[in-house]
Amino acid sequence: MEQLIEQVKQQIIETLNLEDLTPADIDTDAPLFDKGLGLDSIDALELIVLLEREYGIKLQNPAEGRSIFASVRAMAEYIENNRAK
Amino acid sequence: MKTNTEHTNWKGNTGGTPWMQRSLVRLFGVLDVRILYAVMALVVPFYMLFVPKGYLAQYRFFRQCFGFGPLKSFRYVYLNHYAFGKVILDRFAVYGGQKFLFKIDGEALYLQKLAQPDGFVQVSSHIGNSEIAGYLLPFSGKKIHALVFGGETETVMSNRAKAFAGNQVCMVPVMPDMSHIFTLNNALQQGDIVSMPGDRLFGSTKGLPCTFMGRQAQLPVGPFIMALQRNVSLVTLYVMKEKAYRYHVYVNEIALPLQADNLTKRQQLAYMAQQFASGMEQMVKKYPTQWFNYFDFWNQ
Repeated sequence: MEQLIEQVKQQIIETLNLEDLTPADIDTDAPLFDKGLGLDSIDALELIVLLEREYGIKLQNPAEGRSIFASVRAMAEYIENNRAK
Repeated sequence: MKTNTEHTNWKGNTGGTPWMQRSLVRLFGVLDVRILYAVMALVVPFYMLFVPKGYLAQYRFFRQCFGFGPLKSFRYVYLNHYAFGKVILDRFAVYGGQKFLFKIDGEALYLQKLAQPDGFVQVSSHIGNSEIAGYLLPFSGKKIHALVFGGETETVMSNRAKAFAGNQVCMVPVMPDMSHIFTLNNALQQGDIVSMPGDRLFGSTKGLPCTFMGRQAQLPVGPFIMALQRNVSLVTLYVMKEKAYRYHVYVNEIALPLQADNLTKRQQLAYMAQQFASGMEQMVKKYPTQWFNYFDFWNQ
């Protein structure tokens, strides 16, 4: 799981062009949206596409979004349980 | 891309109380809009007098972007407010069931996009009367999911839903839980149309720099990144008022240049935003009184 968490952090940085950050700068349990990394709805779209492209996960239920993207750990756990590739 | 923390909660909602909006819809089911246009012509000066914020933004727009003198600018501010009043009245006339005529430039392109299995992003703006297009344009089985400000009154949302039901138009309000992003993403995956405004920052505050009317401006990232990430077409749609009961629709496509693979994602987005800004500028120059952004557009 720790390896996946590091991988997800790296992918978030690359996908969202967070060039000033390194994986070590991202708190695994901090919120991704609003506080924490301070991402917004446009970033959510990029993360949805990231999950689809890298892990074959299609997110279709709007109600799930908040919990899946609650933190890097939540995202990694969701990937672990639902990945298609 | 530039993030701007100001203007984060744009309230671009339709004015009036729910009671006023319901009354207008009933009235418009039976009344010729030209009668209300005449009333509007008399009301506009008072509106300009008592709601000066929008007046000043428009006055500066005509002074700075068109180089008009003070008197001509003042006259155009009046014409702009009058034109805005007419498109709002037309919107309620549509809710009330009245019919309008549309001349469409680019209809073949639109029909071609409709015939494809893929969905596409339709980027609109607050010039002319984009919303009214949802009432008439054919959709050939595709649903259109239109992103709207989340603060509209229940009456406006309900009337919009009713007016657009026949054409399979779904309103998608911007929600704090970001569920609108999932809804729009799903729509594109299903081959439907997603309509998003390309001239106002709401929902996300991320902006793309561009030149519009000779000055630096910021356009929202949303429609451009949605098209780019989902690899679907980006279509612009302008619905400009020409006469009573008559609109002129302009449909175009924004495509990336052939060498786009050599560009970074950021450069591709900037290119698309500038193409949109240039198209919008052409339209504003053709219909100067139909620019309906009543705030300092260049500092949003």
